[in-house]
Order: sequence, then structure tokens, then C-alpha cells
Amino acid sequence: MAAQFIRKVVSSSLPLTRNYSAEVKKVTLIPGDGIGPEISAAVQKIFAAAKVPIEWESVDVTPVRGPDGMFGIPQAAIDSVNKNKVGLKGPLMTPVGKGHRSLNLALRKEFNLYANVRPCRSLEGYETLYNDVNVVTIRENTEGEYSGIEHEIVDGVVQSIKLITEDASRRVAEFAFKYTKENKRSKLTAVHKANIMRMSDGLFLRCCREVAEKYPDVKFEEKYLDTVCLSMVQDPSQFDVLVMPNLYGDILSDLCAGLVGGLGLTPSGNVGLNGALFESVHGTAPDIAGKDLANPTALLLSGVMMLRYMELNDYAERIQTACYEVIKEKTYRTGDLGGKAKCSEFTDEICRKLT
Amino acid sequence: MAIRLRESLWPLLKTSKCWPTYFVRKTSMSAKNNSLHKHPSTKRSEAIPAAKYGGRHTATMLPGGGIGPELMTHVKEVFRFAGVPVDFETISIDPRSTGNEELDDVITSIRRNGVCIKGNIETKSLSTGVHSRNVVLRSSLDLFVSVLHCKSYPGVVCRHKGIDVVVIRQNTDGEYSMLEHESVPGVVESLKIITTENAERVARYAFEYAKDHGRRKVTTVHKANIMKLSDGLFLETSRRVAKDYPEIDHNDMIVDNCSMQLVMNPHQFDVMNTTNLYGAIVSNILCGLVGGAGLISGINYGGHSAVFEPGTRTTASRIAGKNIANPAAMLNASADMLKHLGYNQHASNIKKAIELTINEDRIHTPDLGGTYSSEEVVHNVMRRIEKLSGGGH
Repeated sequence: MAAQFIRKVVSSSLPLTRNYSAEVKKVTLIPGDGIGPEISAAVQKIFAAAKVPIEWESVDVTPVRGPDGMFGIPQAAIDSVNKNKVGLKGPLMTPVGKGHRSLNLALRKEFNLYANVRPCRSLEGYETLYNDVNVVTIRENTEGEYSGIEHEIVDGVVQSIKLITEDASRRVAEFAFKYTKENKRSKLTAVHKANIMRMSDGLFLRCCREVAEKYPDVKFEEKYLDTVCLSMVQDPSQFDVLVMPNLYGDILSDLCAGLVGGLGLTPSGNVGLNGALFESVHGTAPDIAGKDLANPTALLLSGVMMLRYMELNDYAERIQTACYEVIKEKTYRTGDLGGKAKCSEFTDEICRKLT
Repeated sequence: MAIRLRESLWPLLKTSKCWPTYFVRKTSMSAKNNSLHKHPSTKRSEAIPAAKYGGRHTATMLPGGGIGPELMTHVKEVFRFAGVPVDFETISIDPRSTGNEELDDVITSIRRNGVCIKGNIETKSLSTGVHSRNVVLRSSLDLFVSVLHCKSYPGVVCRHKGIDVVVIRQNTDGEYSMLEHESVPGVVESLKIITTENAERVARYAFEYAKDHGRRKVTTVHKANIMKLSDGLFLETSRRVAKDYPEIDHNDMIVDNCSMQLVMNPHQFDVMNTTNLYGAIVSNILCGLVGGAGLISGINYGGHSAVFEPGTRTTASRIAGKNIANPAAMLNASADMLKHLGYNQHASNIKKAIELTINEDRIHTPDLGGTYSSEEVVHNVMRRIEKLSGGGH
């Protein structure tokens, strides 16, 4: 037992925010709207069946009117994530109008989540036209085209500012190289459009190149966005890990999700300066909410990503294997994968595989 | 008597080539041509009639870099074989030069000739002040719309079959405005400009195209949930124009959802109306789905000129000089140019010959999974043209 403890301390190279004890860890859970509550419940059930040492702390992020009259995330939610440093989020609905900013964007700003990681892997047993996809897209999450700075200069002419800073680019490049190395992947591709946007994407590329020199065993290459789109739909196996600014990342990560079967099957994680938030990226699907028809795979795989981030790799591996096996067997598949099983049946089958 | 002589000679002198104002007019015209920045007057320049001398048209040819030069020789070969009455004015641009004098020559030439066939021009200068020559060319000539007709070739093995989508892309505005500055060291801002005028022109073009070609649906691609003002303006404008065409369906889609849908089900799209960058992404995805960068050609239309090029605008420097580039895209572009000039028989012969080469004869270059060289493809195309035109002219 002492040897195990020492091995754990020595092998871990992460900052002090990690707790080394084998106690139960607290994780913030944001169930979300629509099908959010039922898939969160499914995930909690599966984690309990696998006996994962996690305690869930459920919070509600429905915006409330603050003392200054502006709508914002309730303070309780912010405190919870800041304390626990790790969170799992279901799908959120941004109400249209009413002066809200996009809730997802607000969460990202609040917790300084600077990198979004989306691994896309072809699922055995759920065939799409692409069978050999194994790509991870890492996207800068805070600036770029989504800075939200827009003005109407004169009547009929609008400008939108794309902001690229050296700090953010360097941060995401460091994260990308570290991720590639830790997950034993061989190649990192920076995606850009520096032939057109010479200064902004040029700065991003320069930061990537500088960081590349510190990781000589990771193969680094640069490709134009057009070429990546073209090659990705013809032969996705030529790409391994991709790193890029905000807009290109948004489009490419959704493209890769489409290659493996859609947003209902892709996990996603957001890494920040002082914590991480893992989420499912599909919508709230209000038409099937409450009917026990939802597919919890996306949230479950995000939970698995979360376990890996928290260094609980054994549990992560077991839950992932169980999930893939159930999908491969095709007997218990939810409606979106072409089956007829209910959400609860799918969940129970996974639990059965774990016990 | 001297006065009478003067009176009779005066009009003669005034219109002669020696009169000072003749030269003044000429130089002021070239001053207009020299302005490479987007200036309102460049849009309103007079239409110059298409250069047709002695029954033969003249077209500008810009080989560009990478595989451009070799593909241009194939085009010339095919034209000469088929007896097409088009001569080419070839202009090369040195990729390493930092000035824009050669580009001025190109622009004057295109204005004079009215049509141009081009490869992708390389801009190797590392200085951030030098703008991409392709973009400068497009904005100076006001080539405001780019049309890309992505159609599957049955002879090419792809995952999706029977794709037939037209991408109408705004060609001058948007993210390609090339207005960037470093406000503070380490912080760079790049401006994306959207104007109502350009958005309206491209939306109207899209709907007119749909009407003329019997298409049922136009989809606007945008990201107005995040870029509310800029893409919001584009979306609003296309919705407004859609009201003038009630027989054509109009819907809109966010660009990330659109790329996902393109990969999962491209048959739901008919005509797509996009801004500059999203158009680049969508057209590259579609070209990839249809079989690669070597098949589809694109057309850029502007006030008074048309520029024809391969759809994906790549230089493909990796395969340059190896005789394995796929000439179909450039030959398709040349056929489009002939159709624009009015040589319909020649244009359809070339297009049909390319189709037969790819679908029936299955002469494929390596990018389509075959083993033939570019020259072999071109020879087969010429053989087919000979058969189609009845074995002689």
C-alpha cells in the first residue's frame, strides 16, 4: 500500500491542485436543461455501479438577476466549481433575447477555460461511412473570432474583430503538446490560414513553432484550413491531434463529430487555468425530454475523460470498455443510433457489465 | 484665311493622337487601374468590350505557382488540338517580389481582355505588409461572387454518391479584407468586414442562379449566434432578398452544424449562399467529398470580368513537376471560359470528353486512385474530343 502511494505521488507531474489522497473526491455536476437531468442521472448510476470514488455536488446555473441588475450565473455555482476544480455539465439552453449572453460562453469566461479538447473516435458497432477516425481536436477557447467585439462603422458596413494574443496562443500550444505527449500520440498539426490572415494566424503559428522546439519527440506540422477540410473528408486517418484558433476549431471539431456519427456520441472537455469542465455538446432535445429516450453516451464519455483528467484511469478504462461493448452488441441501442432501447435499459446494461 | 484654315484644322487636331488631352486621358485611365485598394471608382469603371480581333478572342493566362504552369500547357495543347479560336496572353508573377507592379499589369490585361484563366498565385514574401496576390486581384477587379458547382463523377469511387451542390460565395468581403494591425505587442486584431451592398449582391446572385438553373432551395451559411452584428447583417440581407423569390425555399444553417451535415448527408443541400471564409470551408469539404482537389472548377464573376480557376485554389507544390497532377479541374475551368465567351460547342465537347475519360475510360491520376499520368489523361481527352467533333474540323 505504501508502494502504491509512493508510485502515485512520483508518477504524477501535475500541479498542486491535484489531491494525492485516495479519499472520495467532490465533483460539481450541472445537469442542464431538457434531457440533461435524465442523462446526468444515468451517468451517476453508472459511476455508482463502477464504485468510482466520487461525490457529486449538483448545482443549478439558471441565470439570476444580480445586485447590479444584470443576469449572471448564481454565486453558489461559481463557488462550487472553484472549490472542486472539476465539473461535468449537461446541455444548457440559452434563452433567446432577454439580454442574456450565451450561457456556455459565460461559463467559459468565468472559469477561464482556455482549451477545448474533443477526441473523435469511430465507434465499433456503429458504422458510418468513415471507419478509421481517431482524431483529437484542440481548440483555443477564449479569443479569436468569438471575441464578440463588433461595431457598425457606417450604415450598412459592419466590422467584427478577430483577436489573437500571444499569451493565449502560447497557452493552448503548450497544452496541445503536453496532451499529445501524455496520451502517447505521435503527430500534432497546427491548422491556420496564415496565407490570408498573415498577422493574426501568423502569430498563432509562431507561438506553436516556439513551443514545438521544446518537444522534439512530437512531430509537428502546419497545414492550411482548406487543405485540412479537403483531406479530412477523404482520409481522416492521416490526422492525429489538431490545434487551432477558435473558429476553425469549432468547425473542424463538429466536422470530425459528423464523421463518427454526430454530436450525440462525442465527449468534450474544457481545460482552464484552475480547473476543468467536461460537457456533452449536443443540444437539449426538448422534444424527447422526460421520455426516457435520450442517449447518455456523450455525457458518459465526457465523464470518462474527466476520470482520466483526475487520474482515475482504471475506472475510466472499465467504464469506457463497458460502454463500447454495449454499443457494439447492438441489442440495447437508443433511438438516435437506430435501436429501440430506452435510456434506462441502456444504462442498466452498462451497469450489468461493470458488476 | 488663316482663321478659316485654323477653324477647319481645329477639329482634326483635337481628335488626332498628337493632341495633349489624348495623352492626359490615357494616363488618368492608367491611374485608375493602378489603385489596388478598394476604391469606389474602381467599381464604376467603364465596360471594356471583350478583346476579339480577327474572330479570335484573347484571354489572360496566369499560370501561378506549383502545378499551375504544367496544367496551363495542357490547356493550350487541348485548345490547339480542338481548334479553339482563343489566344492566350500569359503573365507570370514572381512569388518573391514585394511590389505590386506585375499585379498592375495583370489587372490591366484582365480589364482589357475580359476573361482570365488562372492557377493559384504564390506569395512567398514573409513580410506581413504584402497581401496575398490572389485576394488583391479579386478585390481590385471587384469579383464579388465565386460560383462552384460540385457534382459527383460516377466514375470516381467516393463514400457519398450523387452529390450536386452549388456554392455561391462572397468573394471580396468578410474575413479576407486583409486589414490587420498589432495594437499592442503580442495582441493582433484582424478585421472582418461585412457590407450590406456585397451581401445583397451575392444573395441576389444566388437566387437568380437558382431561378435560372431550376434549383429549388437556397441555404445561407452563417454564424450569427456568435457574430451577431456581422453575420447577422449577412443573414438578414439574404432573408430580405429571399422574399423577392417566393418560389425558391430559403433556410439558414450555422456553419459548424453545416459542416457536420455536409459530411453526414450532403444531399440535403442545393444552392448554398455563404460569406468568404465559410465558403472556402464548405467548398473544400464538398470537393473532398466529390473526389479531391483535381476535379471541380470555380468561376469568379465581377463587374466586367470573369476569372476561371480550379475550385480549391491550391498550388499543390508537393506534386508539382511530377506529371501526376489531375488536369480535369483546369480543363473544366477552360471549358467554363469557352461557354462564357459563347463557344458552346467547344465547351460542351471538352466537358463531355473529360466526363467520358473519368467515367467510362477510367483514366485516373493518382489522386483518384489510378496510375495514369497527367499527359495520358490529356491525350485521352483529346482523343475523345476528336470522336465527339466527328473526327475532323
